[in-house]
Amino acid sequence: MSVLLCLTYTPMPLHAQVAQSKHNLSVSGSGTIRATTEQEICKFCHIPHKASPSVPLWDHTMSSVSYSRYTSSTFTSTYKTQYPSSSSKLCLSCHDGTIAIGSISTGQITISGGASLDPDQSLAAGTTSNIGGATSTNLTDDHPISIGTPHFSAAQYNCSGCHYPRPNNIVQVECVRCHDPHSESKDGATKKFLSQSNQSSALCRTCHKKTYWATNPSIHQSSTKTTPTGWSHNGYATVATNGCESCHKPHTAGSATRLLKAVEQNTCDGCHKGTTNAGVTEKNVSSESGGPFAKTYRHPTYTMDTKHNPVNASPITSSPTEISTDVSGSNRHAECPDCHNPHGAKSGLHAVKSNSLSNALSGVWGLEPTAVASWTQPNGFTRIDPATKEYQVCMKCHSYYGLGSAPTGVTTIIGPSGTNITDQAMEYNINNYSAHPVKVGANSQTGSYAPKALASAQMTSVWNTVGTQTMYCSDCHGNDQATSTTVAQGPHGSNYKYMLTGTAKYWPTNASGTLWSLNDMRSNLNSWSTNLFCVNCHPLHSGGQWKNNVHERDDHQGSNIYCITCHVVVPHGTKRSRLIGYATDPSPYNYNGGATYAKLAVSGFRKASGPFDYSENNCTFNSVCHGNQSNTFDP
Amino acid sequence: MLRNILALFVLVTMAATVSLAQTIVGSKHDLSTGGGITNKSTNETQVCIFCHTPHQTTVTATPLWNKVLSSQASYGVYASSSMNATPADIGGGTGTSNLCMSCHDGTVAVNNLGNKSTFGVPTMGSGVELDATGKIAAGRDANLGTSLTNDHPINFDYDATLATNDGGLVTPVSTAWVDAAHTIPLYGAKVQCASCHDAHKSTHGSFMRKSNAASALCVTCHTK
Repeated sequence: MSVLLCLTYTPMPLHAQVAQSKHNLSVSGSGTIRATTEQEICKFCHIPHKASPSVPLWDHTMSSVSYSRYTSSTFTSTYKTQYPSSSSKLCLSCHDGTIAIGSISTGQITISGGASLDPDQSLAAGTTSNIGGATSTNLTDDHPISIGTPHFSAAQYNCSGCHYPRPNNIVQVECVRCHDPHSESKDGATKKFLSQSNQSSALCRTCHKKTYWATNPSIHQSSTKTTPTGWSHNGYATVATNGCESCHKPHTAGSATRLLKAVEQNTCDGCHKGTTNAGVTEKNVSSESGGPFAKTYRHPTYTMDTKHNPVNASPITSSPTEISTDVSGSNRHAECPDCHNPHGAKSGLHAVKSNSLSNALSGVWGLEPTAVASWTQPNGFTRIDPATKEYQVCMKCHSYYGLGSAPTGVTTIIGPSGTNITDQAMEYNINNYSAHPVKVGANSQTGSYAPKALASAQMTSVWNTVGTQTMYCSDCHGNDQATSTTVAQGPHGSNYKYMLTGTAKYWPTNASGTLWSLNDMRSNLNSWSTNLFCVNCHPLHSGGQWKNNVHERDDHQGSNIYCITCHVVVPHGTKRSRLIGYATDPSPYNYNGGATYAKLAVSGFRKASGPFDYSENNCTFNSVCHGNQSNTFDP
Repeated sequence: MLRNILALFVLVTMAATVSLAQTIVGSKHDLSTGGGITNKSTNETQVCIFCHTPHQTTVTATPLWNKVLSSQASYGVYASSSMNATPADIGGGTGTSNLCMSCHDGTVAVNNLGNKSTFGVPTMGSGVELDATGKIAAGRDANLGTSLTNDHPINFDYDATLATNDGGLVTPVSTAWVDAAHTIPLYGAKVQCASCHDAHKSTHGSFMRKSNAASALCVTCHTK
């Protein structure tokens, strides 16, 4: 019987996937790296007798180097005492690049591998398979393994993702959590011996629970845009199917902290540089040709690498936060994730007459300053996660939180436009006498007195709900190509000072550098109707009509009397009504030019009951023009 | 028992028809004066006697066993978190794998036999495989020692349930064979030394049951 069966015996086809994988290092292997004559497949790793370590009948020579580990400011875990664990050390016996591929207990099997191997037949540094890098000890840019206790919160991670039965025991995060060394193509697109398909990051998400991604995801979760050539490191084509790995890289990451593909903003601009720069997005948000960060006035995004230092917030389910000292002083920075949450950001910009957070900022945290007495600097904040209003995002840096103490509202920090940066939380305090309706509609500005809002005729037609309508910081500050289809909106960068946006972009001086005056409007000079920033929303002079009887006065219209003779240069909010400034105000609220009226000159102002109800009694001007008035002026 | 007799019959038939090089004769399991080790006997010409005797063995084991068994009470078992099989310690037993360990745990001299030739204990020559007392020398591949914790597990049930639970094993075709081609036997549905090794056949080196080129022997069971 046996003899007959032997005669008819035909070898079974090689079942197994390892034979068809790069881990078939025998002469029958199909990879670049393989033995010159050795026929056995299993023996590169295993031996049936007298194995060391005994599990899993191991035979490849073990590496003896010690490794530097991944860490980050949001990594709260500890590592096991034995790092790496015995399980992961098996993999590293080849993949740290120190030991010859063919080195086993019975000798060294000769391997050919060309440039993939060093002369000693270990994996060459720079190859994908060598995760130890040039030193063979660098695991700082690789996903952490051998994680001990205490470790992550169940709010951030699926317990069962790491503590999965296998099958008689509990195994924690080791190489084999993500890789199956015997099966190269469970993820047919990526290969890499992944332990399951990682399409749309299904493997990553067995452990990782990213806030927003599952329930209120970013456009990054669903975008069918094609990943740029050379950007994807796995086998998938689109942003959605690459998933996490559109931005992150679990081994030999370009930027170790948080395993980003490249340093901070360069991770984002791998795609967000516009199609003309071979990016994915039509809109360019990069420093490459045509991008806002190539412009003169811009947020410090490309210039402040390594300053962004998020730390876990409480509760842990909220987005990581940044403490005040990490966004102030020499740490002032504006990295992409300071304003955008890549796990929550959606497509879409804001509408007019609102200050609600726009889709592009969806999921980012912000600060709501505590209301304080008129014209004092708020130094208390409530963390809002996610932010609900755009200004709450800006307040993270443009307030005491990022600026430090500035009792007059003015800091010593010189901004890109050459003037001292001021405190917007102080300027938009609702107890101030006046402010643009960034925080609340004009009728809700607590510190204002009637009439709180301007008249409808003092606004352009789109701003037709005076008193209740609100506005964005980015209504005034943004990209100078306001309607561009190729450059992103928002205050990334501009060639105009203060990143002023809209049709008209000049303030407080015209294109020639001369201060704007009512004479420009009366005499139609200096292209005021298309260049004076304020007219984007405030008609000032149209159809031969002035919009209030103060501007209407002939003696206010002299060419040597300027907008900034009465109004503050930084027209966010003031301790006086109607954004009037007093001669005692400091720069940059006060232009403080050399000429008599090239500076704030008013010393007392009282808002009238309507735009055409002003009299000399509403204003006193160094006790000169209007004489000594006896009204109750704003302080 | 029936199968063992059949196997012996087949062996005898095959020995008569195939070249000696493929049989035990002249192999490392031939410890006689014509044997294949450097320490081969200087006076014992019988090949089979080192393991078998036809009559009245003093060693209580089948198949007609003649080699004094090891008294090792425990060998331990291989254990792994990813293993579904439950090997049982063969220490102190008389099962098929204990026969192998009667030499290969290194505790009993290879010439410590039950029935002997008239001149008594065979004299072993000098060489590298055996130590001065006739035991397999320490450090030799053939000396597995008294711990089987770092060796492929044996003496466990290998059935459809195990294959299903493990997910990386083929389902045995019967309680006697793993594969339909009958290259890898089971012993009462258990994996034993003899599942991979054929003590009488040296064709493939290390007395392997079949060529392990492309790890063909390993992947008969393991669907890696």
